[in-house]
Amino acid sequence: MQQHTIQQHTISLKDYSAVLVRRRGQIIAVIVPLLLISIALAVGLPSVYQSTATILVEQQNIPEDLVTSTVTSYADERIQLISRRVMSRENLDKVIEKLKLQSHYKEEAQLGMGAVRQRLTQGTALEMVSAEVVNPRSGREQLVTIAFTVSYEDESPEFAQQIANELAALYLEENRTSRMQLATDTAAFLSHEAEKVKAHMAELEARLANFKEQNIGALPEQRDLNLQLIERTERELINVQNQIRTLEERRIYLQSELAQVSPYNAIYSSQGDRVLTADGRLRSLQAEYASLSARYSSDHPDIVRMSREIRALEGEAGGGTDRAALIQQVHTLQQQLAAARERYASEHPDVKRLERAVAKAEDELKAVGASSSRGVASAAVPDNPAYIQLKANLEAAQSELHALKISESTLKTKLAALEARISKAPSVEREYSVLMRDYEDARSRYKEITAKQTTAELAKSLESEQKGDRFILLESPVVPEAPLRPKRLAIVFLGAILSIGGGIGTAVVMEGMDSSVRGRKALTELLGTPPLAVIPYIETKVDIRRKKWWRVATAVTSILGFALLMIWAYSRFMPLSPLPGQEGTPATMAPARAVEGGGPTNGVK
Amino acid sequence: MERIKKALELARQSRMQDQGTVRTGESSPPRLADRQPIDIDGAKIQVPADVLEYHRIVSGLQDRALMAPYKMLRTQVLQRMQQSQWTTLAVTGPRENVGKTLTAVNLAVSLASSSNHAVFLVELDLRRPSIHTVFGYQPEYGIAEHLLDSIPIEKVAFSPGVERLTVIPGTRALEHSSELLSSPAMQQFVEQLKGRDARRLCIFDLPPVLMSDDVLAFSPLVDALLLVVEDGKTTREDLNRSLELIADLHLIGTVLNKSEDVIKSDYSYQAY
Repeated sequence: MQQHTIQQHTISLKDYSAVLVRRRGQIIAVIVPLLLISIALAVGLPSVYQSTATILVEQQNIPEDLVTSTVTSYADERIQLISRRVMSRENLDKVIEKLKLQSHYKEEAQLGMGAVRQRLTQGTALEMVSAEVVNPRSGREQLVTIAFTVSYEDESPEFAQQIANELAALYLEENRTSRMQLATDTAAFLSHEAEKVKAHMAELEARLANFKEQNIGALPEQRDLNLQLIERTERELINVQNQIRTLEERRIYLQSELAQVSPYNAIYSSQGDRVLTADGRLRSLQAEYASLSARYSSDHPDIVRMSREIRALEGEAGGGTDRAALIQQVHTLQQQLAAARERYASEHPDVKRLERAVAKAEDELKAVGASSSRGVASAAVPDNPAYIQLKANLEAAQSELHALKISESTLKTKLAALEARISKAPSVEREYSVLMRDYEDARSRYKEITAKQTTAELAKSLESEQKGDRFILLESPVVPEAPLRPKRLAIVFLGAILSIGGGIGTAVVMEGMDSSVRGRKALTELLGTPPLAVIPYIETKVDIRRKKWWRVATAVTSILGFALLMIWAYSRFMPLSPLPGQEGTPATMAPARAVEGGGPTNGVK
Repeated sequence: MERIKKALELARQSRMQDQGTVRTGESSPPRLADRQPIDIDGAKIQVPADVLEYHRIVSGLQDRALMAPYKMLRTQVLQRMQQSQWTTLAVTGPRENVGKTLTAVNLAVSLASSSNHAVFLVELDLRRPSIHTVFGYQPEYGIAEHLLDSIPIEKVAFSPGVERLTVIPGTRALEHSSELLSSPAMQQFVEQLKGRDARRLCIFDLPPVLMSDDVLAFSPLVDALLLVVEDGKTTREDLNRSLELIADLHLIGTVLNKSEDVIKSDYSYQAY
């Protein structure tokens, strides 16, 4: 039994070349189609031309410090925004109408206007042009967008230029109107705001005035005044009250004095005695009678006697004196009563007696009453100057006291009012400050808005006179001479590389997947001993013939295939539609353009 | 010295057999040993050159240089067989289409052409016999008939116009080939074919080793095995598996067939 050792197969460079040679069929089978396709594409793809307009974003002429533009966004954003507006449905439809693009884009037109618009959108390219600009404020360089380009791609150079032109015009137009619009809107908004604030301010003013009116006297600014007034009023009040006290004392004094003085003068004889007139006698009797009647009852003989005497006297002196005497009696009794009341308590017998006497005398006076009216005045008039004086003083004192009392109450009322004001002051102050603050706020806001409004108005006029940032057409789009794509040489080159790579890759992969025994060396290594013989593939005549036939067939097929591919590419990609307005035959137009389109001529026409 | 002794011994044995029971008649097939072991009077056919060329038989090839690899093979095989005193060789491969039949035929032709050995080429791929087609010959009877139906061997064997080469073909496809290959009849047949002559070489074309168990069934009856490997097609797994299966046999060597990997210097060495 032999040991058959199996060993690993090592690879050498010779093996690689052997692999390539051995798998040349597969490699070629991969390379050739890929190459053919790339050549077909390189030749068959239609030229695409691009026409470009350059638009400069010019800074505003008037320095920003003077007039701050309302348009504050960066150029990039503005351009993007305007792009969106430019590529709106209405605008695109306008362009389509103007250039009659439905007939140019026949395929898309069949699918609807939306497809044509989409073609326009897809063919448009927007690019920013930036530059390093020194920022005047910071002094540092920064990348700023200073311009942008609008390009359009089309298979027809003329169309590319025309459409690019339209788009550029749209950009310029949109920018102008949008800026104008923005400035106008801002001004309008600000003026509206200003109105609102003004109205609010007016309302606050009214409330403030109202409040002041309602709380007059309690306002904070009047506080000091109020304090002063209070102080003064208090002083006055104290003063008055002092006066009142003084006067009351005086009154008491006067009253007591008056009680001791007879209201009637005494008549003196030449000897200096007091002579009693009949009236006088009557009066003294009456006084006596009064005091006695208080002590005794009316049945007492002294009382009876005295009343007989008095009646006799009354007959003499005339009845007129009755009433005056009664009046005097009452008056005297009243005085006595007053003095007694002051001296004693009201339960005191003297006081009680005098009360009885007064009551009686008043009754008698009423009884006499209306019958006699003569001589009342003369009998009632006291004629004692001292008495008169005292009485006058007393009355004066009374009336003064009364006035003072009134004054006192007035002052008290005033004081109370003032104090009420003071107590109200803190809450009033609070409310007042709130109102004032609101008002101040409104006022400052108003000032702010009016300032802004002024700025906005200026900006508006800036825009309307085109002195703000604007778009300027720097380069008008031209009819392109050379196509943008495809880069035919590059396609062929790339295709060649790819196909070779693909071929080799295929060979490598296939080789890797191949687990067969290959070559003498492999077998030797697998077995440990070399094979006894290596027999080559024996080719018979039949084999040779078959091979030849196979080669011919492959060549013919690939040529045919290539030709078919070319025909297909030609018919598919070459534009056959004539230019607008020109009814040239496609045959004359398309090939001419293909030759012009550059790229290698490959003689496959 | 050894060789002469062995040759004398063999000659003596064959003479003894000849003097032994001579059986004639229809009861049993005529034994090869009864006759002179060198020749079987089979049919002699002429194979046209273009047929040979079409089937890639070396003797018919235009390009003489292609004979060189087979010469190399012949030399190597001969050397080893003589060294180990083998006389029977089985030719097989892992799978179909490796070229084992062609290799067997060409080896047999080479051996017969340029050595003084008598070569017997026996078809043992009984499911798909193909040796006869290589010679463009449609035999009436095949080895199956000889073994099973007792057809005499002369009616089966033929010689394709190469001296000292006798071909024993197959005809119809046989279903239970492995049973036949391990049967006593087969054993007897191989013994007869071998004879006692060391100058007889028997080449047996067997089916692919991975496709059936025929090779294993026949393996006790054969001295050595030649494995044919197809360059670029036989996988390593197949090769390993094949080697495993024939591990108990004497593998005389391998042949890398249909190879692109051919160097002229390989054939400068001619050992003979």
